[in-house]
Amino acid sequence: MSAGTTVDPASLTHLDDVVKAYDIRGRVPVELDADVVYLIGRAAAIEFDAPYLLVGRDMRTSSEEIAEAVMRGARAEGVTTIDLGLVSTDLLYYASGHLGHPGVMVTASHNPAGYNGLKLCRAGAEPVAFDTGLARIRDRVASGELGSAASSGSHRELDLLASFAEHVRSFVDVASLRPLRVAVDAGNGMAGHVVPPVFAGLPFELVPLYFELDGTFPNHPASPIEPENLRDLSDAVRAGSCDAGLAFDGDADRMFCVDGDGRPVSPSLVTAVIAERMLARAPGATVLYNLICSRTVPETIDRAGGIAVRTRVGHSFIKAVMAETGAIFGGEHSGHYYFRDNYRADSGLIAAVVLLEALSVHGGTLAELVAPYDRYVQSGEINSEVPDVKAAIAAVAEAFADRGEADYADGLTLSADAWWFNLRPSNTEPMLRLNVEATETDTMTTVRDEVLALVRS
Amino acid sequence: MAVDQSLIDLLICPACHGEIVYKDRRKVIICTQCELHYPVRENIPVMLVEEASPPRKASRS
Repeated sequence: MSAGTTVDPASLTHLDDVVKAYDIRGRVPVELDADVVYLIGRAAAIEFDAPYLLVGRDMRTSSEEIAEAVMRGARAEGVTTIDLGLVSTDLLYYASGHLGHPGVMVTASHNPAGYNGLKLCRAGAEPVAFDTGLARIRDRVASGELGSAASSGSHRELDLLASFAEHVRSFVDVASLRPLRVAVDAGNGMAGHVVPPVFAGLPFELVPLYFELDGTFPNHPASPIEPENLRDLSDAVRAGSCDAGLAFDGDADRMFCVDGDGRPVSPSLVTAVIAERMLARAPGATVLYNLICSRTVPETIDRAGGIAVRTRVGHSFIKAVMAETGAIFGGEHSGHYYFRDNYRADSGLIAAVVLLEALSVHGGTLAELVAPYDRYVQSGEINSEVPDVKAAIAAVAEAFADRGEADYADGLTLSADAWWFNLRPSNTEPMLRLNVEATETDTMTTVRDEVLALVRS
Repeated sequence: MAVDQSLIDLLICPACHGEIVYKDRRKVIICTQCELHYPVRENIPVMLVEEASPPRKASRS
C-alpha cells in the first residue's frame, strides 16, 4: 500500500461479500465503511484511468459520508472529482454520457435503510460489472496496490438536474400530451427529487406520495417490484381518480405502474407499449427484450415492424447487445428500460414519460391501452433454494426433453406452443429463479407446479 | 469558468491517442492528429468519440 494509507484490516474483512455481480453493496458500517470506500475510490480511479470522476449520491443517511470517501480516494490518485450531489442513478448515467466521464453512484438501490453501495460506470455510461472491472477493483483494494499521484486532484460541484429534466422531456412530443392526473410514489427515494423538475415542463397534474427524501424509508421499502409496496399508490390513484400511478425504487432507476383502477401493470406490458411508441418514431429499428419478458413483447415488436432481439437477464448484457445491434430501446421484466438516445443507459423517468405519452395519444384509459398486449398469464418470479443448481436444471431438462424446444442462453428456457418457462440460477446465491408463462391459467399452474416439484425434490 | 489547463494537459484523443488542443473561445477540443472535435459542456471536456464531430461538420457549425 502506498505511503500514508493506513486502514484497519477489519475494514477489508467483507470485501468479497460486498462486491456483487453488478455493483458493490453491503450493510454500513459492518460490511462497508468510509475507510474501505476510500480505498475503492482510489482503486476505481486507477481502473478508470481518466482525469475526471463524476460522483452522485442518494438520500441514504450514510450516502454523504460514503460519497466524500469515494471522492477523497479518487483525488488521492490525482483525479478531479465532480460532485453531482443528490441525484437518481439515471441522472448519474446521463451525466456520464453527457459529459463523457466515468461515474460512481452512491446507493443501495431498493435495499433496506442499513445498506449502502456503489454503482460504477465508465465514460459514456458504460456499465462496470464484476468481470469488467469490479473484481479488479476489489483485488487492488485487497492487495494495496494503489497509485502514488504527484499531486491530489481538485474538486468542483455541478448541478445537472435542470439539464437532465430537459433531456428526459426530449423523448416525448410535449404538444401531444394530455393533462393526465398522475400519482407518483417516490417511496421517500430519489424520485422525490427528480420527478418534480421533469414534470414541471409537462402538462400532467402530479399527485405526489412520499416525496420527502428520507433514507430511513418511514412509509414502505423503496422496492416497488413487491406488490405490497404498490398498495399506497393504488389507494392514492383510486382516491384521487388518477389516470395512472407510477412508483420508483430508491435510486429511481426502475419504474413500475398501476392503471386507473390501481391494478399493477406488468413491466412486460409496459415494455410492449414503449417498444411500439419508439418504433413509431424509428420504423424498422431493433428492440431488445430479456428472456423472461412475456411473449407479447417480441410479438408486439414484430407486429410494429421492428426487429426483436432476445437477451440474457441483467443490465450488462442488455447494454452490450444494445451497443452491438444499435437497438433503439430495450426492456427488462424487472422494470429497467434502456434507451439508445440515453447513452444506452436505463432510465425510469424516460420510460415514465414515454408511457404517459402513449397513454395521451391513445386517448382511453391505461387499462384499455395495455389490454391488447395482455394475452398471457405469468407466474411471476419464484425463487427456490437448491444445493446443486446444475443438477436441478439437468433434472428439469430431462423431464421436459420431448415437450418443447430447449435453449440455454440463461439457465434453461423451454418453449412449447401454449407455454414456456425459464429456470435460471441466481448470480450470487444457491438459488434458482423460475418464470412461467402460458395462454391459460390452468396450463401455467400445471407447468409451474411440475417444475417446482422437480426443483424442490 | 474556463477549463483547467492542468486537466487539458492530461487529455488525449480517445480515437487515435493523438495530442489535443483546447480552443477556449469556441469551447471545443481538437485532436491535432485525426482532427476530431470534442465538445466542452459545463466547462468539462467531453472526450467521447461518439460525441465528437468530424472536422468538416465541425467547421460548418
